[in-house]
Amino acid sequence: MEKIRVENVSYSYQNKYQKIKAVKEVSCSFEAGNMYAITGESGSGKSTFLSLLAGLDCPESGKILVEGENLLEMDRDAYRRKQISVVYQAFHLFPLLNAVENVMYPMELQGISRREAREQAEECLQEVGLGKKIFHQYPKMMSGGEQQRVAIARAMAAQGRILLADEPTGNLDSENEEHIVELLKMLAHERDYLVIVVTHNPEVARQADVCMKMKDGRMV
Amino acid sequence: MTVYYSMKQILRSPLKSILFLLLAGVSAFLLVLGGNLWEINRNMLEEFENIFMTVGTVEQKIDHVETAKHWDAETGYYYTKWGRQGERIPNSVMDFEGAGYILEAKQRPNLGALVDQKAGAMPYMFIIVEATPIESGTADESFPMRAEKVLSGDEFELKEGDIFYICDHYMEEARSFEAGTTYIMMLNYAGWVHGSKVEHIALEDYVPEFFPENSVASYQYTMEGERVYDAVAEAEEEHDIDIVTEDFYETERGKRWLEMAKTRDYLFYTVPVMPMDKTELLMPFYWKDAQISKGRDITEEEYAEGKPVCLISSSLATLLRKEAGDKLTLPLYCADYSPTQENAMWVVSILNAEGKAYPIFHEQEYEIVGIYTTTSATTNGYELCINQVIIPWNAVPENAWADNIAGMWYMTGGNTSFEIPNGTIEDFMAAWEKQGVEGLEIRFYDNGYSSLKNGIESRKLMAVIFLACGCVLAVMILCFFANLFITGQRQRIAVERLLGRTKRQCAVSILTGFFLLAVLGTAAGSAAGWMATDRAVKATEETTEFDNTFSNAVIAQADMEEVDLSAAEQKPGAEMAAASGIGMLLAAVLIGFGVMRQMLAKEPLQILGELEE
Repeated sequence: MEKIRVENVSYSYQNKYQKIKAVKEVSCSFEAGNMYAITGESGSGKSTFLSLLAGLDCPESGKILVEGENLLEMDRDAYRRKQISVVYQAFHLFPLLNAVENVMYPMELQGISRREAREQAEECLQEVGLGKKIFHQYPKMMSGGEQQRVAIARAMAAQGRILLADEPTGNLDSENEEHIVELLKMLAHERDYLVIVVTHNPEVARQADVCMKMKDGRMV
Repeated sequence: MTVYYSMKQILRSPLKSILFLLLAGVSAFLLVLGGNLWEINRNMLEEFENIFMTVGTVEQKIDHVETAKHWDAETGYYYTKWGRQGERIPNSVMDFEGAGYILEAKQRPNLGALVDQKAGAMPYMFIIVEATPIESGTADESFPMRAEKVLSGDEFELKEGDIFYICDHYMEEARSFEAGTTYIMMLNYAGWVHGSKVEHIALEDYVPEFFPENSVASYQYTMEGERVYDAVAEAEEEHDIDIVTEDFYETERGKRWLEMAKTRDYLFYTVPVMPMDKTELLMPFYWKDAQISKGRDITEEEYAEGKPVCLISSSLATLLRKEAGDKLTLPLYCADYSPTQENAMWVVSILNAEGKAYPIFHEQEYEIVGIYTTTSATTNGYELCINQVIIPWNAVPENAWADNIAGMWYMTGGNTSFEIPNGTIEDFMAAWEKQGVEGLEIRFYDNGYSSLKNGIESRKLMAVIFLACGCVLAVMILCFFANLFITGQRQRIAVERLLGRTKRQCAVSILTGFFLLAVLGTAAGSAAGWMATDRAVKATEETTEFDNTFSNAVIAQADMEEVDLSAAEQKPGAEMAAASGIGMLLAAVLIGFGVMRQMLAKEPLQILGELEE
C-alpha cells in the first residue's frame, strides 16, 4: 500500500554565501511494510529529503502526499506527533529523562495516561532488547547502541507507522549496527511500518528492501 | 506532564536552580525593600508638607544711624542713637516673577475698630484743657496752671479749678506763659514735679507733671505712603501754644481742637483689627506662642472667600463678654501701618487732613469662630497687639481704607509676611536676587523643614538605590538565567519540536520550570523584603538626625489624629510587596518569552545541527 508519494519535489536553502538547491524535482513513492534505504554521497541531498518527508521543511515546488493528503496542507506538528517518528544518528534523547521517560514522552504527548504510557514504554524497551536495568538510566549512562535502541523504542511508542532514520548506525559498532538494522527490518516486515533509512553504509543499504540513490539532489 | 518534566529539569540541575532561586529572591528583596522605603519616605514627606509651613518676613533694613541730641529739664543734654531706614521701599517690590507665593507678601495695617468697651490703647494722660497760669513765667521747670475748662478728659485726672503743673521738659527753649491769658493745650504725662516752684511739695506725694502738646495736625497718608497735604499743619507754629480768644473756636485751629476733644475717647474704644490671609502668617501663631484656646481657627476657605468671621483674644473676649460663636460688629475707621508700641495700636492723630475724625469706612458683623491666648514669648516687633482681632483680608473690600490711613511705616517682620511652598527658599531667593532691590531683609522660618527634608531625601535616595539595584539585578539575573535555562535546553526544544510539540507547547514546557523558580524566589524575597522594611525603617530612624528642636516641636504640636509621622506607621501594606513581586514576575515572563521566541524562530534541525557542530 502506497504510504508516501513524492511528486517533483524541489527544495533549496540559503547558506551564508549562496542559495543551494539541495533537492531537485524528485519523484518517488514509498509503501508500508518495506524498508527503504536512500544512499548517496555527503551533500547529495538525502538528509534534506528526509527532513522534507518529516515535515520539518516545506518543498519549494512539487508535493508530498501522505496517504493521499498533501503534507503542505496538513498540521505538520500533528503529523510529526501522530504519523511519523524520526531516528537520528546522534539519537537526540532528552538528557534529563531516563530511558523509560524518553519512551513515554511521545505517548504522553498524545494524551495517554502516565501509567499506561509507562507500561507500554517498558514493553517497547524490552522489544528493542533492553533489559530492566536500563529503564532508569539516563542517556549519558548508556552506550551508543543502547541510546539508539531507546530512540527506536521511542519511535515505536509514538504509534505512527512511518519511521524515518537518518544514519541510524553512524555512531555504532558493527554488532550494534546489526541489531539496529534487524530492529528496523522487523518493524517494517512484522509491524507494517514504512521505514526509510538514509545511510552511507552499503551494508545497511544492502539489507533494505528497496535501495535508492541520490546524487546532486536528484534521485538516480 | 509539563510540570513534571519541568520539575525534573529543576531537580536534575540543582545548583543552577538554587542559584537562580537565591538570586531571584535577593532581587525581589531589594525591590520590595527599596520600594517600601521609597513609599514610606514619600508618604512622610507628604505628611510633612501638610504640617510644615514656610513663612517669610520682610523688613526694611536700617540704612544709617543718626545721633540725636535731647534736652531734659532735670538732667540737661543727653544723646540717643537712632537707626534710620531711609526712603520707604514700597510693598509692590515683593510682587516679582518667580516668587512662587502660596500667599503673597502684603504689608498689613492694623485697622482701628470701635467697640463698646475700653479695650484700646490707654493713653494714660490725654487731656485737652483750657488753663491759665497762676503767675507769669517760663515753663522750664514745673510751672503751676489752673484748669479753667476741661474739654476732654476724665474727671479723676483733672477737673475745673484744679491746680496742675506743666513743664516743657524736653524743650531747651521753654515757652513763656502770661498770667491772665487762657491757653488751650493737650496734656501728656511727663513724670513727677520738680524745680523751685514746687519745693513745698514732698517727693513722696507723687504730684504729676505734664508737658503741653500743641499739635492739631493730621498725619494722614496715601496708600503710596505719601503724607496728605494738610494746610493747617503746614501753617502750624510748632512752639506757640494757642490762646483762647473770644472767637478762637471759629478759626480752623479752634475747630480742630473741638473735634479732637469730641473724639478724644476714640482711642480708648479702638481695638486693632488685622486683616490676614492665614492665621499662621502672624508669627506668634506660627511659633505657637499664640494658640486657639476656644472654638477653631479661620479656615482656608473662609480666608479665601472673605467670610465675616474673626478670631479675638481671650482678654477681649472677657472684656466684651463674648464666646466663640457670638457676633461682633466691627466699625472700621482708620488704618495704621506703624509698628505697635507697647503691644498697642497707637494712632498719632485721629484727625484726617480735613481736620475731621476719620469716618467709618466699613462696618459689618463678624462671627467669632475662635478665641486665642498668647504668651509673652514673641518679641522684637512680631508680637500681637493687646486685644488684637484677626479677620480675613478679603472680608474688607480692596483698599477700602485708602482714605483713612492714619499712620505709615516701613515693611517690618510684624506687618509683612508671606508663604511659599516648603523647600523652595533657595528658588525664591534666586528669583529675588534677580530683582536687584537693596535695603530689604527677608527672613525665612520653616520650623526645620529644610533640615528634615534633607534627611528624608537622603533616605529616599537610599531607597531609590535599593530599588534601582533591585531592578538592575532582577533584569540581569532574569536575562542570564533565561538564557541559561532556555539556551541550555536547545536540544530538548529541538527534540520536542521533532516529536511534534507545537511552539506554544514547547515554550510552556520549557518556561514552566523557569517561572516556577522565579515565583518561588520572588515570593520568598518579597516576603523577606516586606519583613525587613520594619528593621530598615527603625535603623534609619535611629541614625537620621531630625536635627532641630523646631521640627520636633512642630511634629509634637501637630494634630496627631490628622497626621501620622511615625515611619513605622507609614509602612505600606503587603500590596507594595505584592506589586514589586508581580512586577518582577512580569519581567520574568517578558524576558523568558523573549528568549524563547528567539529560540523557537530556529528550525529544530538547525538547532540540532548547531549542537553537533
